[in-house]
Amino acid sequence: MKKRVLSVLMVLTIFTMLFSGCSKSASTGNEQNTGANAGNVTKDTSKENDVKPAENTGTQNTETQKDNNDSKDVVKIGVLTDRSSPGAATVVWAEAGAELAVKQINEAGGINGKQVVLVYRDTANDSANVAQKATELVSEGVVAILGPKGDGEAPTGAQWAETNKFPMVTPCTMNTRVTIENATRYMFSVGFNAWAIANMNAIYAEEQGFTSAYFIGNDGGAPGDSRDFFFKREGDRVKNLGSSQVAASVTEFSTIISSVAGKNPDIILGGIAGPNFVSLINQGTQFGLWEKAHYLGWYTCDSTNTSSLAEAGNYPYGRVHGVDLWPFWLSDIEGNDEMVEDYNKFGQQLYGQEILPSDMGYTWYIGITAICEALKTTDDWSPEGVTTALENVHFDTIYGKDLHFRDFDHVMNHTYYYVTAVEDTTGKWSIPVGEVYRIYKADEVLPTKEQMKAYAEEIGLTFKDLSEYK
Amino acid sequence: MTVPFFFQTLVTGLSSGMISYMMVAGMSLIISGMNMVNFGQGAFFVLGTYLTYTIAASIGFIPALIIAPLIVGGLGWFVERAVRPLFGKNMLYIMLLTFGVAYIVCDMMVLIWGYAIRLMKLPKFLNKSVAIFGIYFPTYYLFMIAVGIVIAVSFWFMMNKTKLGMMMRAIIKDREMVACLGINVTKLFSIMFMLGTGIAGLGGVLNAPITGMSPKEGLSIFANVMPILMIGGMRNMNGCLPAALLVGLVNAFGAIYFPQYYNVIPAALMVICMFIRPQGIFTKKEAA
Repeated sequence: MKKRVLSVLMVLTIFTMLFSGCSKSASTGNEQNTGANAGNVTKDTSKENDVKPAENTGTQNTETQKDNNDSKDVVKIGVLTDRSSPGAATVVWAEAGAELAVKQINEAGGINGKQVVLVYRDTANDSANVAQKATELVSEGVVAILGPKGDGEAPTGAQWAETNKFPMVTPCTMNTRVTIENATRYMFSVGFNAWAIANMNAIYAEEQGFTSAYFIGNDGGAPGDSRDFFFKREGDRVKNLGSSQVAASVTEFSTIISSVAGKNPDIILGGIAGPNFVSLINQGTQFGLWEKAHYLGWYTCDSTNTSSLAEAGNYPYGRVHGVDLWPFWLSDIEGNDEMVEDYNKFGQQLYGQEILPSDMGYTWYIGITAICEALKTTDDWSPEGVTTALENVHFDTIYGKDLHFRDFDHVMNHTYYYVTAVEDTTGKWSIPVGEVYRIYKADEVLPTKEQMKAYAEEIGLTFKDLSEYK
Repeated sequence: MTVPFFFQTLVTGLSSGMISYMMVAGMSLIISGMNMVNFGQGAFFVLGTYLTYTIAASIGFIPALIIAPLIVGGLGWFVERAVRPLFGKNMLYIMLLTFGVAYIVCDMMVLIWGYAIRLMKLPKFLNKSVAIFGIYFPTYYLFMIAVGIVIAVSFWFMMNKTKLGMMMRAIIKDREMVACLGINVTKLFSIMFMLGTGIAGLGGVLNAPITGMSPKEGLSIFANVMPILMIGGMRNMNGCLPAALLVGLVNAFGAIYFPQYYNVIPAALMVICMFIRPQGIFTKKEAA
């Protein structure tokens, strides 16, 4: 009897735990739908529109898809997010950026009078899930997809976009090899560009007279690029003291720090973000590494990386330098403070979480804005039509004029802020703010077509000039 | 390599090994004693970290060091009750269930603490450095080494000098025989599981001031220390500490001499070990 009672109690407990786990998603969904009515925070996960995947997209399916959107009187945009992997630590910031863009578009009248709705799918940062989730989104009747979120998923995303001839805008940091090898007119990038980061870090290193560097970063991909192009540009001027590549799940850096400290580098080139970044910077502070070396990287003032460090009092102000996209601390930019405030509200509405500005959120914001602005320019919302619109879209934000995708590689021409992360003396920000070292126009730091061609030849690939498809 | 740098690397390797030991010690107890793999162990570890974040903020780090592992161990008791009907059945069922538990625990953490990365402020009395052979070393890492030693010694004492330990060792050797002797094996399993998860929680507590954690890391963090279990011997609790220290030291010196391949050193060690001594380097080969 006692056993039975205990068993029943156990089952009840597990169910309670399960449902409380689910209630997060449910409540999140409800909050988002409520938001949709009140403040245009929108989310639609219904599966009632069974449109065939775009791999079969012919005129008929395209028409069906258009009808689906017409009948709902909304425009659906798909989002490949990550709510399940360790990288999900940044999901609130990312999704809040996308929702902020939707809010602004909808408040300004939507797209040709239609309200924008985001449809999410979770890839769990696993490239094996990208194709299936993207196909599901197409079945939901989306007109374009923002995603995938992770660098490692980008090649699969590009391949899927090419195979299915469906427009995809990725906010991840792009590796040059991936950009060249998987070049397709259906893939667009609004994320950081690793080669550009390398160039900006190299310029800073040159001008500060740094002569030795050690790289700590995630395996291959964009971080690898940020190292390789740095040393390629610097040649013998900067001594390469070594490279420690770490898996995304690694959070124990003391052995690396110890070995690096013995080499006395001027700079640590960082190719990490999220928990990796927090752990390395924190442990580096504890071991006194930042008293000896400077950190050069990106996401320097991004609150996903910096909040916990600032809170724990372990951010090495003045010793971390790098590239940021969202200059949130520049209050003199008209509309900046309102945008930051709205962004925080979405963190609250979506996940009940206080959030401060993040570059990742900014790239998601730009991605959705680019898609919406492209949709405004055309009546043809077929995948081909939307792709053509994205190729030609030009738009402004409060932070920059004439944002567009470059013709030959579909990379967004962001304005890049090279900054040193410093403590905010005004007391307005609890996270580091950027002391701007230099503001770069995209064409000053992004690789040129000729450089891309030369690099493609160097690594034995054929450079595909996407402007030829325009 | 200079002498001070050598010693700094040595101490770093030992402290890194101790952090890993804290992660695997509980798992090793569960595998050895209960013949099951708890895939939820990483989630319990991260739960310990998050509990510390909350508890330490209100009543301090030292109380958190005691309370958080007790809470995690208590949750372990519930999980053991859920797993119990599956004992003796296909191991796959237990693996799947504990994997499911890991997901639930991680989602619960998201529900309570959100997705944000958390990092605890170091307690003042541990936020110092001490000079070792002229090189400054964080006091907190020495503290972790000390706690690791205390845990290892307590474990050894419990297993070898107490009645409970004697029964546990007996279970590891021959479960049926122990049951035949009238010892309550079910109760012992509960204690083992609670201890195992509680130690994982303690590892999480000690990790809180040094590592930035997100709740979903509970699903993957354990993969980093699996090589230690294999090298020490999957069913050999005593092999856990030397294996963790070995991996820590090899990692520390490997990071100097083979920085590019730093990432793969533990896995490579594990593969070599699997070929040469599949039962683990620190496990005596059982007589046929």
